[in-house]
Order: sequence, then C-alpha cells, then structure tokens
Amino acid sequence: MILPILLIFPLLAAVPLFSLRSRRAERSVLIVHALLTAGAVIYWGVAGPEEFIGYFRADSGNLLFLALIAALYLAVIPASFLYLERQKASELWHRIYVVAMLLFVFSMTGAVLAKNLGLFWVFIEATTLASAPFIYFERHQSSLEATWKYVFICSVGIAIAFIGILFLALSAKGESDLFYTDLIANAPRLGRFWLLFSFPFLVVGLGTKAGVAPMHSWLPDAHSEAPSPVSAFLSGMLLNTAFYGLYRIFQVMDAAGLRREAALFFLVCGFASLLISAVYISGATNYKRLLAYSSIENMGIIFIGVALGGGALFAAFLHLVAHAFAKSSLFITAGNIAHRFGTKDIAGVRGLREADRPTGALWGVGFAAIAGLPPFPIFISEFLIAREMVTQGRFGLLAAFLILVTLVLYGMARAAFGMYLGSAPAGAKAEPPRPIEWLPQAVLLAILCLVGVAMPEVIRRLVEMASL
Amino acid sequence: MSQILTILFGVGILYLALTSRMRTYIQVIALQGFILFLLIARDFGKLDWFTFFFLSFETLAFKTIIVPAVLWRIVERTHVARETDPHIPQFGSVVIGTAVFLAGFAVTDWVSRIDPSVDALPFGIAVSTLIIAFFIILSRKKLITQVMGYMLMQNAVSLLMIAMAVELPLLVNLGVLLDIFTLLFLFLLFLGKLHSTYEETSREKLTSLRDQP
Repeated sequence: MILPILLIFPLLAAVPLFSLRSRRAERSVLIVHALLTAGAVIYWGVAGPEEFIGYFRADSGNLLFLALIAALYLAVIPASFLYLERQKASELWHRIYVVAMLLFVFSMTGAVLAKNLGLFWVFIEATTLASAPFIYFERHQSSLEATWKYVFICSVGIAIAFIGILFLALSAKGESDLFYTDLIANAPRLGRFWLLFSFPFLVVGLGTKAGVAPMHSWLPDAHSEAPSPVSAFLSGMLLNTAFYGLYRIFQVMDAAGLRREAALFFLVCGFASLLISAVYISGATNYKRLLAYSSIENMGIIFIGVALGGGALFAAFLHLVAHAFAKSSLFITAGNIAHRFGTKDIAGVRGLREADRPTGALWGVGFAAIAGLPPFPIFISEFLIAREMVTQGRFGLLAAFLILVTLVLYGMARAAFGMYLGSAPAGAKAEPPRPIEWLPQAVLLAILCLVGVAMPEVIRRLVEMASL
Repeated sequence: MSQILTILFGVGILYLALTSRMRTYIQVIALQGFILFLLIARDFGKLDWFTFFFLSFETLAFKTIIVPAVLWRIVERTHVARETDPHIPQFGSVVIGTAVFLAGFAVTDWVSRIDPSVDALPFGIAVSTLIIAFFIILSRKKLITQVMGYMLMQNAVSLLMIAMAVELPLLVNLGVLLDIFTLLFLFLLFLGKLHSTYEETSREKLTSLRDQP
C-alpha cells in the first residue's frame, strides 16, 4: 500500500503549496517526502515486493536504485535549505525550487518503479521538465544558456529513444506490450532485425540522459549552472535512473541472444565517454564542470563494466553506488566552496584546508573516493573491471582503460590539489562552518568508506540483486 | 490517396532544404500536421474511438494549429524572418537534402525486403524526414530554426508510427503530447528570454560555457 502513497504524495503535496505560501510548509513537505521515500525502501526491503495497478513494481531489481534516491534525497535536503538561505531566494523562487524538487524526485522514482519501457520513457521525459527550472534558478546569462542546451539536447535524445521504442515495439509485435518481464521472457521470439535496429537508438537516446558520449554535451553546462544540491542529484541519481532503463534493455538483448552486439555498443559509448573526459577535464577552469566531466568518465566505466559482464557486472553496479555517493558529496561541498570563495573558478580557490578545515577535508576525502584510492569502493570496482579484462584476454582494452582513467585522474588531481593547498585569500577565512554544511557529505563518505572496508551484507545483496 | 498525401509530406521537407524563410518552415510543419491527421482519419473504424479521438486531437489541434501558431508568435516576437547565415550554403543544403531523400529510400528498400509488413513509402519518407530534421538542427544557426527542426523530427516520428502500424499504449501517446506541449512552453519562455538577453538568438552566441581540450 506504500507504493501508491509514494507516487501520489508529491503530486498532491505540490498543489496546496501554491496557496499556503509558507516556507516552513514547503520545507516540511520536502522532509516528509524524503522520509516517506526512505521508509518505503526499508519497508520493501523487509516486506518484499509490491505492485501497483500492474504498471509499477518495487522489487529486488530496482530496490538499489530506490535506496539511492532515498539516501541522496536525505543528503540533498539540508544542503538545499542552506542553498536557499544563502541565495536569499524570493518566496516565489523558494516555492519553485520545492515544487520542482518534489516533481523531479517523483519522476525519477516513477521511472525506476515503472515495469513498462513506454512508461519509463514518459517519466524520463518528465525528469527533463522537472529539472529545467533548477538549471535556470540563478537566472544568469550562463544559466539561461545551460538551460536551453539541457532542454534542447535532452529533448532530441528523448525523441531518438522514442524511435528506438517504436522499433522495439515492432520487434515485439503480438508477443509483448513493452513490459520488461514480457520482453525478457519472450526475447527468443522477438524479431532480431528490429531489436538490433532499435538498440542504437535507445542507447544514444537514453544515453543522452545517462550522460554518456556522444550526447553528453549538456552535462557539464547543466551541472555547473544548477544549484549545487541539485547538481548532486543530477549526477548522483538522474544519470543512474537513465542507466537503469538502458540496463533493462541490455537484458532483453542478452536474453534474445544479442549480447555481443549490445556489449559492443556499450563498450563504444563507455570508451568514448572516457576519452571525452580525458581530453576535456584538464582544460576545465570551473570545478563544478570538472566534477561533471568526472561524471561522464564514471558513467563510461559503468557502461564498460556491463559490457564486459562476468565479475565486471557486479563491479559496474558497485561503481554506480560509489559514484553516486562520492559525487553527490563532492557537489554539495563544491556549493560550500563557491559560497566561501565567491567563485566557481579553479584558479580562484586556494588554501581550502586553511580557510575551512571541514570543507577542505571533505574535498580531499571526496577526491580520494572518486579517484578510486583505497579503501573506497571505486578502487574495488575499477580493479574488478580491469581483472575481468585480463580474464577475457582483452589487453588492448585494458591498456586503453588504464591510460584514459589515469589521464582523468591527473586532470582531477591537478585541480583538486591546487584548490586544497596554498594560502587562502583573506576574504575566504571566515567563521567555521555549521554542522549542516558538512554533516550530510561526511555521512555519505563514511558509508562509502564502510562499504570499501567491510561491505555490509545488505549492500552486497542490493548490488547483486540489481545486476541480475 | 494516402500515397499522394505521403508524397506531399516528403515534398514539404525537401522544399525546406531550398528555403531559408521562417514562415515557410512553419507552413510546412502545419501542412505535415494536417497530412498526419488525414492519414489517421483514413483509419477511422480500425481504431477504437478513444484512440482515434486522441490521435486526431494530437495531429489536428496540436501539430496543425497550436504548434505552428506558437512558432509564428516566436518568429514575430524575435523578428527573425529568415536563416541568414547557415553553416552550409543553400545550394549545398539542396544537394544534401536530395541525397538524404534518396538514401532514405535505399534504406527502406533494404528494410522492406527483410520485413515486408513495413509500408515502404511512408517509412522511407519518415526516415528521410528524420535525417533532414537532424541536418536542419545541426546546420542552422538560429535557435528558432533548430526548434523547427525538432518539430519536424516529431512529425517524422508520427509518420513512422503510422508506417509501422505500431500500437503503443495510450499512455505513451499521452507522453508524446506532454512532450510537445511542455517543450513548446519552455521554448517560448526561453527563446523570449534568450532573445532579450542576447539580442540575436543565434547558437553562436551561446558559447560562454565551453572548455578547451
């Protein structure tokens, strides 16, 4: 019974907010929604699967993604309140932020819960519309540019994905109605030609939202212009939500005996994403754009892991979790840095450890987590992916993988250390941060550290079940 | 009759390769919307009444009237009469447009041999329209022209659905309508904002967010 409540609550709650005109009420609704989402995940984890009107289902296959939404939502809310306070958001823009957040989380939750590919597509479309106001939130010339690119490129991507769905529907004519379970069960009887024809359209189309090359160009712009808590959500969850649908389609291809072809597309997108990040990350002058290029790289690694299969499949899903936590933490911290230093330019930030110890520490530890240094789980996932390449005897791929990952690491490290070390400008040394400014990120990084050192059984099972 | 309509749909998109006038773009988009409506009306009786009503509304009200009217309003507000300086000159566009059209039919010939159930003429024109719409998006500098390229792409997708007789759940059709409606709203909003911010709404003005390798 909790599934319909979770889906309907944000829609019903958004309506009275326009008449109440109370910031406290708006914030309370967000908190209740986040707690409801977290409660629902715990409930499904304990009580088992739940279905709603035949189109939505919460089960072990999507519980990991729902858990990520819940965890990141809880981390993003305090950061959002802080952001709205710092921005001195007007009553109207405060309401826009809250309503957009409710709808954004609703659309991501709906996409993950949807049993039907068509319905998934509708929710993915809705994520673009719900998140566009965030990117325009600061109303600069650059925000406008980023919003335009985001809406336009994602719309084109979504239209391409729709063409893919058309071809997939043609391959499934009479056999199934775009339900994942039907598609997988009937996969051997699907028309191979149309199935194969649909896959590139789906990969490019949904890959646009997943932030992988060749349709990644909206990502650095949108992530750098959106409020930092929203960038955390975009990077930590939106990309994964789009990936979720793509993985389900990958499973259909696998069941239809077209795994080799599907893996080839994933590998090409994965390596193209790594290449793009490696080329552009060193040239990034804005640290939020730097983090965005790192997101493209990490999504590429996830695609590569799925393409390789075997032990790399578990690694890909572990990587997904680790990237979501580490990147969200880094983006929220980036918001604090922007507030303290008054700039998003890498060159404008020096002496972070001296100016603000907790923020400096979070930046340093966050960098270690995203760079894949032990004991963080990205070290394990990248190691497992590399090991799978060795097991499969794909040494050329291994060399390309290691070189590209190292280049990205170099670009990241140069900027991150430059910001961390040195002397802080006088204006940056202000009062020490309040716990609300560092606690959510610290918790995310602590969980990651725990997963890396001694992975709790519940997390291992969630990751394993998601990859099945 | 439906073959003539489909050919007319294709001629419209080919004509766009020749022109740079914004109003012609809008007229072609409206014409294509009306052709799509007629192609659906042809299937009256084959579809259940709700789907028929929904698709008729989508094509006639939205694609033929509302979308062109909104585009017309944007053109008047932004005072952009024509695409003055495309990335590819007019003659090149005509050559490329024609080549794409022929290539679309070559693809169709190949596809219809593999799956004879595909209606070759609308499939070929839909594929050609899709590619030309992409070409317009990539080769034109004005943002409003790119939006029109996107709308042409949506029309091509609708023709593709008709060609392949794919019956998707109504929910997905609703999603398509939502997509068009909200995007128009956003485009109207942001194009207005972009125009007042940048004076000239050209893609080349939107370069403040760029990294060097």
